[in-house]
Amino acid sequence: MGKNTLSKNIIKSFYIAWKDLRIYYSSPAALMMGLLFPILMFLTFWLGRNLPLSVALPGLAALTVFFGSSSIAVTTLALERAKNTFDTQISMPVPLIFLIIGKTIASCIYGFVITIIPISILALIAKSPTNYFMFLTALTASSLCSSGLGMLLAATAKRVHEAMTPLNIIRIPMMFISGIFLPIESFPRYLQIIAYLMPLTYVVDSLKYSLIMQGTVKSYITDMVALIIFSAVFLVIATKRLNDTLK
Amino acid sequence: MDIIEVEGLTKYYKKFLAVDNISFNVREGEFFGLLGPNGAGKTTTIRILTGLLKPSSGNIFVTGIDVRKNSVEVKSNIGIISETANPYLEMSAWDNLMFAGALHSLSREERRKRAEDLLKLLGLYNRRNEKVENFSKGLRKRVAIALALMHDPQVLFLDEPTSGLDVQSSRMIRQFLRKLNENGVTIFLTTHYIEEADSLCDRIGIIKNGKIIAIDSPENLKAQSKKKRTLEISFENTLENIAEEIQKLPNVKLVKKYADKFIIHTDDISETIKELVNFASKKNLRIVSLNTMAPSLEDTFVELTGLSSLELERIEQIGKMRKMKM
Repeated sequence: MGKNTLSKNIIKSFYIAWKDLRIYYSSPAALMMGLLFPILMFLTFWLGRNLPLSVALPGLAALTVFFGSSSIAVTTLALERAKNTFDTQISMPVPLIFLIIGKTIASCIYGFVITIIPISILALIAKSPTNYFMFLTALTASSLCSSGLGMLLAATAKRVHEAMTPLNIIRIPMMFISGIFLPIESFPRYLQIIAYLMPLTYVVDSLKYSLIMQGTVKSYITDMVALIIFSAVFLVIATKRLNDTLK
Repeated sequence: MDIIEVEGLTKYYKKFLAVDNISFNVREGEFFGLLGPNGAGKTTTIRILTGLLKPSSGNIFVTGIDVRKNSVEVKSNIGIISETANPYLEMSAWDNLMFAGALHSLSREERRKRAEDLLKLLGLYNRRNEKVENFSKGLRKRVAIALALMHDPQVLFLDEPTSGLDVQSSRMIRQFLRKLNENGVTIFLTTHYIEEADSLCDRIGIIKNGKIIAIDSPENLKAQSKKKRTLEISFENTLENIAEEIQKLPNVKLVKKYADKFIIHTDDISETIKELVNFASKKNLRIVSLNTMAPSLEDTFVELTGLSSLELERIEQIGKMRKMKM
């Protein structure tokens, strides 16, 4: 078996991700909050407003990846505690950070896959001027950041609802001030400041540029940097909170 | 050589003192039991030893590695079975073992070989591809045991392994643990079943209110009991006033009749046996059974923990209720 080297730990993270995807991708909480809710929410706002489909794409993509990844992150961690399998996981020789990374990979893949397929089809139908390389990069960073937020809130939760409730308290208001439905520039100054403190704002902005070329390359790069910083901060705090549960 | 070394282990949950400055060692190859009533600190202790919980203070070395500094390395050398470490119900027994093997960095070939051997040994091989959610509690426990043994650990930690299981499953698990121990695996077990600890363990630590109040072999613990040895005798044919007659024999302190048996309290077991045999011969009585009754581990446990027999009965009842829920 030998020492637990970095490469071995990374491989373990992928095994954890694979197991999580197999078990949790079809759980009711993940399907309801990660797939149905963002689509229904989006349709509620989009239908009847006579917006072209291409203009609506970034909003739909942002909601799907944000809700999908954060929901599965909460599910994989909190459900394990509820089902008494969390100890099985932590009784294995895997450092907590790699456990978190494994679960983050699973929720990233989930958010990524449920977004990329419908949005790519819709982008082709709408003949949207999509830069697919930038879109994939933006989607990866967005799913990573959304998973990190889910991990952060689920790190100490013993039941799914204990993490899902605060997650919804945070992400539903975030949805309204992140530029999905209304441009941020139309908000009063104080709301604009709050909006730029929200990760979803950068998710929406990066998807707007990559999907419909709205914005600038500079703002796209800023979005990427912001999402990576948010992700790192969320994952570090999540690991610390998880570690605190062992005290 | 000591494979587990604990010195001054203390654990607070906020202000509540769960484990109070305990120290003990477990030798390599030993079957060690931590026995105590509910809430005594058994689970907290085992969770700390296995790196699932951090101590407030104290030094803990398992397989020579400091658990506080390198719990991940310790976990490579130990197996853990507890009520809160279930197999994944949504996966088959086989997939559970493959997953555990992968997290222990076993090669694909090693994983397959080890899983096959363990599932055969635990009588699960024919159901290896079934989801664990279809298994009874006893079978799930066997999967949990296989999970903990995938990497051939040096020490196996078990927290209440037979709690809530039916008699057959409990017996199967005990036999398996015995065999495992014979093959050199050190076993650390927590239980509140006194008979389980008595029949399995080389040494037992009795824990109460977070403190270890006694630690010794089951027989030495029994010898600490204030209860004296007694004799139990039954005759094929009985005479009237036989209890009074036995009472008159030298060294006999007290005679009580229970059903068809006489319980005799004496200061000298050996002499009293001789007297009883002579007595039976003189009175033309045929002895059906003659047993020396040592104090039980339960007697010592009750004396040391201060539990009343009513409380002890309640603990047994809880165990039985868990079995009924099965």
